[in-house]
Amino acid sequence: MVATVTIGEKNGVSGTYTNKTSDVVRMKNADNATVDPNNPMVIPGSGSDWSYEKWLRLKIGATGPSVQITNLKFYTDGTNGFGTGVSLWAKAVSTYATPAEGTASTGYADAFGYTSGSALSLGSGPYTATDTEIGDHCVLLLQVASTATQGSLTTETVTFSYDEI
Amino acid sequence: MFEDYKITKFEDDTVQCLNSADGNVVVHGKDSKLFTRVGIHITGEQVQEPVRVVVAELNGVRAYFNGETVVLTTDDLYL
Repeated sequence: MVATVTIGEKNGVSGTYTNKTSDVVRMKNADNATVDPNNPMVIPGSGSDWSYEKWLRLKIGATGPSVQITNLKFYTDGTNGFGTGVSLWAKAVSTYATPAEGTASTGYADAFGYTSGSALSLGSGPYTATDTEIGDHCVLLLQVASTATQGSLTTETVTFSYDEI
Repeated sequence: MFEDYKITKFEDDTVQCLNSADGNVVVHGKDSKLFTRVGIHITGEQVQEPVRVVVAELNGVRAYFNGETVVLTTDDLYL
């Protein structure tokens, strides 16, 4: 059988896991998984507006792999299509911490620097247990500078990948 | 597409990936691998359903198969 693997967003002090498969992950100025227009990113007069950290993690559901899951990766298409003044930062973190509002990109790398040929490793595994979060968290942070353009952003695609036997 | 499948390894090192809708892939030999590679895309803000390909490797040459197309390469391809 194919393992049930989901992408989830974690929020709050306890890291409440919300399954986001076929759902929406919204970068915003609050720590919650709610998809609404509240707490939007704003273009500052100067400096940058930083989103709250978005902690994402893969999870094996009720159905596990026949043998194992390995080689967890995160990557993008390598091109920032968000436009001038909007940056997406990423890092891998093993231990969960309550999502905080970003203040700088220290410790992060440009998410669009992670491509299929140079992906961010989220763990090599093997992972087998059911109903268990696996690998490192992928922590994303959105930065909006004063040079950004008002309105909806161009659609971008990021990818989580794993190998399964 | 390989939405459901079964991978079996036999005592003679043959590994078979069987999918009733799209056929099956078999590799044989001690230097062979057979696994599925899964990609979950987040497009815009929407998390998509996983897409998967079967990857068969023999002596460093890989065949990536999505049920319709086979890509034969020595590269480590991601979805």
